[in-house]
Amino acid sequence: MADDLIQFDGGALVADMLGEASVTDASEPTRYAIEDGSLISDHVIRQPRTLSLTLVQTETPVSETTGFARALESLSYPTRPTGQQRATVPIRQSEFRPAPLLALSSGIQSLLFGGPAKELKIAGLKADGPLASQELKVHVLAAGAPVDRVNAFYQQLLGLLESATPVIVTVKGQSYVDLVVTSVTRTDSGGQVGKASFAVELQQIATVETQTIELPPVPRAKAPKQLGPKPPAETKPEQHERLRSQFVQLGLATGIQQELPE
Amino acid sequence: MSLILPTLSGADAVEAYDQRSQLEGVEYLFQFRYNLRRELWSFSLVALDGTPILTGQTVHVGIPLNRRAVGGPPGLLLAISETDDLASPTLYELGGRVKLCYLTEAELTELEAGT
Repeated sequence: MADDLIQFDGGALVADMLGEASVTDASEPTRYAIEDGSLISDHVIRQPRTLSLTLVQTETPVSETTGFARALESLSYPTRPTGQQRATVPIRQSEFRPAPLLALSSGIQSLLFGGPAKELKIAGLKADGPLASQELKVHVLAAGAPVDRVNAFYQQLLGLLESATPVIVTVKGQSYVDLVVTSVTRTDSGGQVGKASFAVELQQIATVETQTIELPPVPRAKAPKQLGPKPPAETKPEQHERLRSQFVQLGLATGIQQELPE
Repeated sequence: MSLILPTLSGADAVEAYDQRSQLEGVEYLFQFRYNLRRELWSFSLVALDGTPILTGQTVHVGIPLNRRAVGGPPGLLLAISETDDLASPTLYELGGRVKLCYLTEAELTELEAGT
């Protein structure tokens, strides 16, 4: 979350976690019929960009922040002193005489299974020593005084909403400018203490700049050229056929009315 | 008998001109204007006494152009394309690729009877 923040004039808001972020850019074309051949861009309204963020804030931060300081804490845990111990275990080998080994010579059999009982010597960690206490040192974030981080964060979000302060939101390295907070929804889930999530809606404000410039003198509109009377020419046979064909296609001959551009 | 209305095309084309033409024995004033921004031709049809019959009709291929006319010639004004390109004519194309044609009332009656 270090890079994900809401910046405004005079400060920045950094939540402990960014649960979700979605950015919407949209355009709305006209719902009405437009003349064929029109410039489509004249009939499309660019909608302002909207951002939806789900921020999670806890009473205990995951990184060092205001009100919390890095402190070295000592913890202890029980342990035994290291050491070895040895033991000797007798093996009752004479009771084991597998049949397939009968073929062995008596000398070898005596060597394997006869004679005095054998011993096995084992070595291992010593486990019967007294328990001792070991120390473990860890770095923790400690607050000198109780800090109500969740409510403070909520108040700051409400402050941005009420004052309609333009903010810059940075999510994963991408910055979105000229946004205002349009809604803040706080959710405290059951069974979760010291944590709240905030659904924040933001909308971009489009701005324009005015500029005064000197225009060159407007040229006078030319009067339409006046042409003398001219009779229409007769169509050639192929033009005539094309005309008839188009007429039939229109369906006017059968009286079918069509929705046509003006 | 179908007719082709006289228009200025190719190098002769200008953005605004008025042309008088006779249709079925009555003379009309055709006011052709080219909209540079929309890149479309439009025309108005005016009686010689100044009575507007049809104003600001955009020239598109294949649609009846005088359906909104109040009075005026009894036939049908229709633009046809000489090629497979059915796009509306640009500044230099009216009278060239696209012809503004007129079907007389008699021919309309004949076509309606025949179909």
